[in-house]
Amino acid sequence: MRPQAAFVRRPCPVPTGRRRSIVGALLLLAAAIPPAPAEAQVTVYAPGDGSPNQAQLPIDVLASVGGRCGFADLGTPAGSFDQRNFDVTGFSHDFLFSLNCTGPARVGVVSTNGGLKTGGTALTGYAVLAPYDVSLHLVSNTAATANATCAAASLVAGTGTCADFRGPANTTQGLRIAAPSTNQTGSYLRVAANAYNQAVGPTLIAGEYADTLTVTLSASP
Amino acid sequence: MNRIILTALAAASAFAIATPAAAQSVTGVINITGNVDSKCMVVSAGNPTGPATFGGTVALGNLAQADGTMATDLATRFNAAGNNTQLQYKIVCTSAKTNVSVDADPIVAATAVAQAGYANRIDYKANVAVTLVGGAGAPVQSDSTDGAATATTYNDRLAATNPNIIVTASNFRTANLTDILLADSYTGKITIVVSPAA
Repeated sequence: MRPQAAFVRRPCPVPTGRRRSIVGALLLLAAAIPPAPAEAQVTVYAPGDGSPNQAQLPIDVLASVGGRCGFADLGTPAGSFDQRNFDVTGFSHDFLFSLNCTGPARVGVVSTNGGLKTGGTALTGYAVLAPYDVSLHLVSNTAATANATCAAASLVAGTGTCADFRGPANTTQGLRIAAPSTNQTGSYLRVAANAYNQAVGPTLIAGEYADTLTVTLSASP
Repeated sequence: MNRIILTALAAASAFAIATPAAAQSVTGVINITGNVDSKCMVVSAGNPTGPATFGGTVALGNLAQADGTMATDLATRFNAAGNNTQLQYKIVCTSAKTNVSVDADPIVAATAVAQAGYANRIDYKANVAVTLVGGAGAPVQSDSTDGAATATTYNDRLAATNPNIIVTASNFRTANLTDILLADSYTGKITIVVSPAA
C-alpha cells in the first residue's frame, strides 16, 4: 500500500463572534444535504488479475399484470334464431359463449324491442309484441356459477326493470360471476317462450316478428 | 491491473411496472325472429256437432199450428234467449281483414210432396251479425232460396268481445201461406265460414 499523505491546514485565528457565526452557517448547510445511502463497493478484476472476476447486481423488478376480460376467441354470444309459427310451438334456444376473464366479471343484456315485435298497431284485444324470457348461465374456472332469468320486456335499455342483468354491463351492472372464467365452456344465453294462448289473448296479429339482444361484458373487480 | 469498481446501493434498487386492470367491455349481438300465420281461432264455440268448430242446434218444436199450416212464431222461437248459447260465438283472427260467408239451407222433410196444397219445406232468411274492432259491421244475410252463399270481406279485425258473431233468423215461410206441412221430421242448416283475409 502506498503511504498516504494527509494535508492539514492550520486554521487562522478568527475573532470569536465571527467564528461563531461561521460555524452556525456550516451546520445549517450540512442539514440541507440528505445523507447519502450506504454504498457497498465491489471490485471486479479481469481474469488473471485477481478475484472475483464477476459480480451480481441484484435489481429487483416489481411488476403486476392488470386483469383482462373479454369473450374467448370464437366464444362471443352471437347468431340468429328463427321459429316459424312460434305462437303455436313456443320456442327455446341456447346461444353458447365463453368468457376469458382473469377476475370477476359481469354480463349484461339489452333487448331492442322488449319482446318479439311486428309492425302495426295493437288494437284492443290484439298484440304486436310477443313476450319471451331471457336466461343467463355463467360458469367459471371453479365450481362457482351465476344464473338469472328476466323477461325481455325488462331488458329495454334505460327503462327495463331487470336488476340482475339489464345491460349494458359495467363494473356494477350485470350478472356477476365472482370467480375467473378463462375459456370455460358451458356459459349460455337462453331465449324461451311457451306456446301462446291466442284464443285467450291478447291475440298476436299475423306477421313477421323480431328482436335483437345486445350482450356486453365487463370486468367487475 | 484491470479492475472495475462496481458500486451497488445497499438499499435495493427496484423499479416497478404496473398495468391498470383492463376493464374491457366487448359486445355480442343475437337476432331472434319468428312469424304468426294468418288464421282464425274459435274462442267461444257454442255447441257444435260433427266436424264443425263452432255452431249449435236450435230445436223449433212443432212447426205446424193447429190447422196444419206453418206456425207463425218460428222466428220468435229461433231467436229466443234460451238459444243464445247455440247461436252466439267468439271468433278471433290474426289477419287485419276478415271474410265471413253465410249459406242458409231450407228446413225440409224427407218425405216428398205428392199433392198440391201441401209442403215439406220451410224457407227463411239467416242473419249473421259481426262485431268488428271498429264497431258493428254490416250483417251478412242469406236466404234459403239463394243458390249460393253470401260472402263479405271486412276491412277490420273481429272485435275481441264475446260474442262477436250472432246468428238470427227471420221470414220463415212455406211456398204458400195455406200449405199444409207434411207430418215428418224436418232439418235445416246454416253454414257460416269465418276466414282470414289478406
